[in-house]
Amino acid sequence: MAQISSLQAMDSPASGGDNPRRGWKALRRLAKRRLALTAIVVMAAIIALALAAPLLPIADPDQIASPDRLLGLGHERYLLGSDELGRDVLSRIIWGARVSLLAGFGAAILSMAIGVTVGLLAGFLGRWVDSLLMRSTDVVLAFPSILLAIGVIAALGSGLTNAMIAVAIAGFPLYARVARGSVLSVRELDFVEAARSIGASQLGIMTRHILPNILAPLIVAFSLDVGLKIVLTSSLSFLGLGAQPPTADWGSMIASGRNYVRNAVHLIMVPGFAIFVVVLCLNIIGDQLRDALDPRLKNT
Amino acid sequence: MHYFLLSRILHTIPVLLGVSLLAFFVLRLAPGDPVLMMLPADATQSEIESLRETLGIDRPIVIQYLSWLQEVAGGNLGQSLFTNRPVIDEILTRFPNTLILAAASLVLAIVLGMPLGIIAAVRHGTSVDSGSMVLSVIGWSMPNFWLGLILIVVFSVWLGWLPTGGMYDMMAMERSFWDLLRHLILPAITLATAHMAYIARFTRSSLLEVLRQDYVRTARAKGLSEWLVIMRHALRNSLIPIISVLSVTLGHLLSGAVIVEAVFSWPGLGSLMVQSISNRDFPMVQGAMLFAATVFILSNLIADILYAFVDPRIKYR
Repeated sequence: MAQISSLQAMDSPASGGDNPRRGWKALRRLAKRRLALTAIVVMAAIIALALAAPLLPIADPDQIASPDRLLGLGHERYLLGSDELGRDVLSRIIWGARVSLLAGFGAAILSMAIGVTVGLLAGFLGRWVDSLLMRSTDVVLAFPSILLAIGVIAALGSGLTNAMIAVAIAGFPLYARVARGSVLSVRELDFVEAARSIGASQLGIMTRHILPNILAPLIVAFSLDVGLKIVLTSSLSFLGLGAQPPTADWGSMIASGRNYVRNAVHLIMVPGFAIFVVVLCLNIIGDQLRDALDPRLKNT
Repeated sequence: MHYFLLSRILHTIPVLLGVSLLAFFVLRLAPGDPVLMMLPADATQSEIESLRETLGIDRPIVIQYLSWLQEVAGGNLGQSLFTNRPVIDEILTRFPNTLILAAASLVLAIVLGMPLGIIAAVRHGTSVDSGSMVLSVIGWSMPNFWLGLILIVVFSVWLGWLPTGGMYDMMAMERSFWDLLRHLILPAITLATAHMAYIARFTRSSLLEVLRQDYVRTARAKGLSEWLVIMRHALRNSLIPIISVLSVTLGHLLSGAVIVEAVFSWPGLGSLMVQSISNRDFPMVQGAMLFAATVFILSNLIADILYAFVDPRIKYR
């Protein structure tokens, strides 16, 4: 939901990147913004914690300890309390970050790969290929995203990988539109003509000349989209259609914790807050990156 | 105008056909025999054969699609494998509940989001502006299933003011509007929050755009008060793009309702879909997908037509 406005604002050739160096300049500008920098630092810390999970001195996330069930926050052995099976919530949050972030980033990367391929082909080849691909994209867009994702899961079966695929399929049209719009603004430029005149193949022109020049708006779209993908994959896990027990995943942790809200509210508060912080940081980074890359889109 | 209307309606037909194709084929994505996938593992051979015959699985896929499409065009979405009732009946029973939830959320999102956006635009660059935008970023970054649970904990478990879920009190002798309203408050707030943030942000950017126009400068130059400039000149024009936003919002409300209905046990279309997956009721999933997408497409169509009525420039584009 969050990123609709920003992504829609990007859905135009105006945001096409015609200078690869602009990306670096934008990153430097981004680093100078305090809010963006804070979000980047927090996000980097969360990713570092997730990657370092096997090296950290924390309990096994799946280790059951029945006598220690439902302990609250600040317990001497369980800093973030324990769950209904006596498992350490802190450990499950850190290990869960690996699963939740992987699912969100994985779905966004897959979505971008499908969308960019479709957008490149449609924008570059034009004519009936363009019509066919973009009309197909319109059809996918006609489905509310989570309903389509649920439909795909109904076919493929529950599970984290299938949830990622389902979310990626439901979300590729935005990338396809951004890529196509950018290709249209780049394909008639002199350097493409030059590549064509020295005999470069169509595939070569698309991958070596056009793709690097449309990366800027795609990177912004990705940074705005990845938060949404984390929410969607977590939502599917919450519904029992994504990660399956005993896998520690933030969405499924909230789902199992909801049965204990009367006496152990931390079981929903801690993983929910983790999702919230990650999505907030990603939204801030995406917003600021977009402003830094294309000041014309500021205030949208 | 007639040409615009006709072409816009005609454009909807291929999208609807595409939607039917996708809804039909998405459940054939699964590897293996779809009939075995729909039935429990201990199904007898005669049950398998009977379902195979009902679904017409042995025929060529194109023929299957065309005959399914013919049935769908006649309003027949098939039979539920779980309840044995017609899918369309189940959907029509549940859809009004989703619509009530979505409509209440839309009203809340507009009533709270638009003033927030207007205040932010009018006080552009001040702490009020940054404060309301911070609120909107927080609003849309919050996963709605988490927000729903927090509201349940605070208002139902701790304070005991509102029910934890459902649409009516199960113990009540008769259904009253007041009872519905009490059950509606928390899910509607949950569903509205992200959309409120989106509408606030969109209203702000749209109003800021209009405030830079020459005719607003003229209005100020002729000595109108700032209040009149905003209410009579700027706001009216800045609201035009919001119509298109509202149609998108309706689609996303339908989407978000899936999660919110699951959190609050709201008996709508979304919870029907989630239940149908665990019941392996594929005709129901297919029917609900098709129905939701059609509602979404039609709401976009209505919004586009409304947009053209409100802004006469549209039809010349």
